[in-house]
Amino acid sequence: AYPIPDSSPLLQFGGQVRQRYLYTDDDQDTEAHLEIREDGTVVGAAHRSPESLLELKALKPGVIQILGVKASRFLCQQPDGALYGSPHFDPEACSFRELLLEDGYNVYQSEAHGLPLRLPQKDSPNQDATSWGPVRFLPMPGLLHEPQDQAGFLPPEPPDVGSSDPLSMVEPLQGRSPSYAS
Amino acid sequence: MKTGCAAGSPGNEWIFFSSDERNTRSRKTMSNRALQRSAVLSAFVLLRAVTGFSGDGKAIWDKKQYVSPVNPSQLFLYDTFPKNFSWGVGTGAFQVEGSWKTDGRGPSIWDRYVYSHLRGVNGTDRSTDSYIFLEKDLLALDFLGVSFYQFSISWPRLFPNGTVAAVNAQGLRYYRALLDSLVLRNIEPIVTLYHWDLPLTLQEEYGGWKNATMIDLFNDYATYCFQTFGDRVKYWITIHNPYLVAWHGFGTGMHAPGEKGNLTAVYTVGHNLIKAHSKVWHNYDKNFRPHQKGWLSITLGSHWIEPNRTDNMEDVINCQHSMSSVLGWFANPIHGDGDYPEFMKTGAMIPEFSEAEKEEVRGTADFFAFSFGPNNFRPSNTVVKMGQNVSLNLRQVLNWIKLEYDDPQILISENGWFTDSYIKTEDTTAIYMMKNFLNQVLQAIKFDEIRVFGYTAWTLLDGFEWQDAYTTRRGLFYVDFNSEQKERKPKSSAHYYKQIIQDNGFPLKESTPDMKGRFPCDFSWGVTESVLKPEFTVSSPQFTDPHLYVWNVTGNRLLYRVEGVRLKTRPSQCTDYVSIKKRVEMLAKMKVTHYQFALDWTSILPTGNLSKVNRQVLRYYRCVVSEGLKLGVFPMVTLYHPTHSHLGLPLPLLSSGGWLNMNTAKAFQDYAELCFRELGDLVKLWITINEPNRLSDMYNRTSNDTYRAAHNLMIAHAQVWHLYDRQYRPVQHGAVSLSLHCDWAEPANPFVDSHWKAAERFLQFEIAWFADPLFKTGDYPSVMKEYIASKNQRGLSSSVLPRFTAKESRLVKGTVDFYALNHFTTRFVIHKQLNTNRSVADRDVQFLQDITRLSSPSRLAVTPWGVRKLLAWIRRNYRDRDIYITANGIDDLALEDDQIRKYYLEKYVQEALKAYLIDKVKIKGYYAFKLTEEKSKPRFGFFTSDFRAKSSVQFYSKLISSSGLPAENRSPACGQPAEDTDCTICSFLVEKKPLIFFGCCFISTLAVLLSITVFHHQKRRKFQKARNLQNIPLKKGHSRVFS
Repeated sequence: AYPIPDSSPLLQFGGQVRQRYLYTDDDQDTEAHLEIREDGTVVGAAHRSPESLLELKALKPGVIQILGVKASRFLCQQPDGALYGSPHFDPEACSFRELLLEDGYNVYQSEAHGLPLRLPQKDSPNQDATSWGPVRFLPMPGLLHEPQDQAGFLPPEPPDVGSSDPLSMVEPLQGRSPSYAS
Repeated sequence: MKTGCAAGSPGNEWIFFSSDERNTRSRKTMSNRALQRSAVLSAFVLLRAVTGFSGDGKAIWDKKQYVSPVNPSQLFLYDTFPKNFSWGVGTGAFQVEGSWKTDGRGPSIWDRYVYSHLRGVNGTDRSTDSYIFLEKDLLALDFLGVSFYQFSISWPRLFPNGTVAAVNAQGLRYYRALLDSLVLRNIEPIVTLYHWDLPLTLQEEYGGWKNATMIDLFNDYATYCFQTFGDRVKYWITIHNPYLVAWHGFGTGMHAPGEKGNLTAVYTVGHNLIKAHSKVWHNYDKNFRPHQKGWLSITLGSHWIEPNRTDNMEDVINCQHSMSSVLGWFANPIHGDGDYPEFMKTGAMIPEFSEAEKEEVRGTADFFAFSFGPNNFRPSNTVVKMGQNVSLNLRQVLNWIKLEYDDPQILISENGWFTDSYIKTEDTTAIYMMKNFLNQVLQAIKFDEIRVFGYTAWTLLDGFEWQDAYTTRRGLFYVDFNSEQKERKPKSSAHYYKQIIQDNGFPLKESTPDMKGRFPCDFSWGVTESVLKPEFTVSSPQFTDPHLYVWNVTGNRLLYRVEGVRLKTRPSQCTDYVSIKKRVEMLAKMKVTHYQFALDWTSILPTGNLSKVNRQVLRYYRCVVSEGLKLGVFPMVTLYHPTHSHLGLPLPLLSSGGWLNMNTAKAFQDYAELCFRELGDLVKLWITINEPNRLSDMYNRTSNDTYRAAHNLMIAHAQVWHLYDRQYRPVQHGAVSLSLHCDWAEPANPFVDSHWKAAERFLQFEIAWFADPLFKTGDYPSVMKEYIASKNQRGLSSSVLPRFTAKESRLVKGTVDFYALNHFTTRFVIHKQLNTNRSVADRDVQFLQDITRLSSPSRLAVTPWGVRKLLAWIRRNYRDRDIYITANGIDDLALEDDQIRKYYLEKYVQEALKAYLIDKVKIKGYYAFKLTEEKSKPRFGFFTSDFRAKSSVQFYSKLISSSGLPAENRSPACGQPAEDTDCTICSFLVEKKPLIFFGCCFISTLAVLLSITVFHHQKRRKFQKARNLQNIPLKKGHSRVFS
């Protein structure tokens, strides 16, 4: 009988690694994915990007570290809640407790300070947002190779539901001639 | 109370009158009502008979099969709704009634919410005032012609303190008057008991819907309404969109009472709303249905969601969770198994139903009342998206309801969108949103067998729009909130809805049905290319290299030239150009009779003048033409074809101002003469400039630049035409024209006169701009001149249209031998005053994309009837003239099976055929656009960028072989007998191949034998001749001399 690959008992403590995008739609007018850039800034990006692909690794039950795959930086939090990407892992600043909510979303809290993970606000006029509740993140599976769209079929653009013309019917400019497009 | 009723003789009179009127109405509509009752009753039986719910909504995203966009189930459906379909319109009391502090009305939670949260809006002194102007509302309903009117009763107007203790007599009188008026008009009332305006006292004393006491209080209120109005009301809605009550009232705080952040409260409120509805349903079912014979439901609202990736199971599951969290939250208990969705029950905060409670709430709706409007989509961050994409596809969500809740009868209880507050009666986008939603409902009914029996357009009147207050409008009728009389003015959407109700849907109004027919035998079936980039050298140098080489002579695998040896070479041939060979193959596969392409002016004359002529490039183009002619493909050559990426002018001309410089026209003349001289013996159809009326995209610094460039282009064209007419037509017998971009224009809003004018004005500025000077008057169209002048007077434009001198006018007039047009789509035109300094602003038009029409990835709408209207317009304006459609096509992303292109081709050729056969338009040729495409450009090609044929190639070649769209049993087409003969010969050859082979062998053998025999015979004759010479006797004279 051949051994099962990686069946050595010494590997049992290797730890579980998940590749995920952290998606949130709280407190923002648009959806956002958590993105760790190579200069260490942490922002919310409307669309997925290589910078928003994260590696979630369990440190101990319920506690994880979050690594930006592209930037090779750990997600860390200052005592005041500000987020930054660090090339080195600091257990105090970069460990997060993962709390599972009943609706499938998660809340991440700093293990040391108990502050919730929250994307930076962009001049939010709604000052009551901070008391609304913790920011929820939905871990979306991260695919290493996005499958290409099927030729000839494009998914429709999401409608702009904040507009009286959500399907962009009114075009401000005259359409270009196909004859000029070559 | 009893004493009061007994004593009041007016009450007795009222009862008699009402009873009589009700009987009259019942007799009139018995048949229709019987049908409705039967249909809905069967739904009721089905719903009550269900012991469990299917819960199969997730299947809607599991579809593996891709449905083509040209499949009839996806195209706009021209059909009518079922005969007994109910058309209605709705309002909410708090949105329209006004009179919040008069006639005994009590305050509601929304009155306080407006004061505390919407302070910037003067909510207390502006309103639609339906309470005061009931008659005007009724006139609006009459205008529309609806069969039902859905409105809500304001709980605090009936019971100011909320409890059923002392009814407000004035409020009661209002609702009685409203109901009596509806009955009188034969309009079925659908009454909503609770549309969010909870009496404030109930909020302050009990905590509102967080308190389970509300269940009984609501039931008492409902009981009173059933007792008081149930004789005239047959359709009841208990609560309008309870999801928004719970979620926005207690979660986001965007709705009254404005509490937020408390998920426990949210779910408790939802729980109590469900129980309240259920209790009321049972009350009606037990105590009122036996004699009032009505139906009762609850309006549930939701968004719709699509997965990021349809092939990803997790995305699909997230979509199901999204719908379960919103619509399923209330629909599962009521229309399903009596319990919350499994997904929601994983949370600790959601209350639990006991088994008895599940049994109590299950099946407590006689039909599925559904709301699909902007309140469930906005603000975007409050929608439970689960990371997926929201969608406005009403058809899909109806399918989800069908799968999830076992195919219930559905009333669309609220549907529509909103317009901005500054929009008055011209709500053009609302028309198209309504058209889109309604056709999706029709498709759901016809193709998916969804049992929708009624539709409620939302809303009748502009009014208070909850968290948006008065910043958005949703009414079919415009109301000026600051006016005194609050006149209800029908918007375009009201006119449109009225028309839909009259037609009962979208009947096909095509003037001419599709026909079978053929174009004439000499019709030009062509394909169009853009600028044909030339090859500068042939691709086979071995034919021009005179040297001999040997390979691997010393084992190092290299070529070595053998000195002293020169081989014979031959001149390069046309087929040595690889691209020509490829192009000829493509043309042969398409079976076209004509091929249109543009020369590259820059390549032929790099300096712009004749000082340096690239003969190799000219030879290349000559080869393209001659190889095509060998194939039987005739050329149509364009001299100048600008594109966005390349203006196409030689660099010195470009640097000196391009077409703004009149010297360019002279250079163009020299260039044209060179082309006529070098290619004119083979080319009989010339296009001087492709789409000069779209060059404004390049000369758009100011409008005057655009108009000046266009002016110079016309003069350049005219000079070239005269050159050909004078020097080359007598010898070459060709024709010269220029091709114009000719889209058709329709008013985006046919109910607004300014849109009709804008459409005609667009045609003048787009087509007549060039066509009038060249085809008719030698001057710009008067409409164009007058409109620009009027804008100048009003200070809205500083454009100056150049003036044709008398000499120029004579020069340009009549300088076209045929009408060449490029047509791709029809544009829906909006009148909009513009005042930028661009020429496109002078026409004051904006464009609308009709989202209900099939369109391409670059948003070109497929509107085949437009080409026929365009051809008729041209015939009307420019007399009977030969017309060539020199470009017509659409982009399609498919690399192999381009179904949109095939659909487009068939439909547009069909319309051209109608124009030819019925309208007698002299169409001489049709050129499909275009032969190939380039990478990372819109896919307009019949062949991919690597020359692979798409399925439309076969489709078009079949069209060409048939000369159009003939009937099957027709007589043979052009050249059919010859083709038959060829086919006969071919089949004979194939069939008798072995016999032919051996026959050839026999004949060749016989020939050899005969030749040998002849040769032998000749030798024998020579031998005999020699022997004859020996027998000649010597004469005696000769003998004596010798002796």
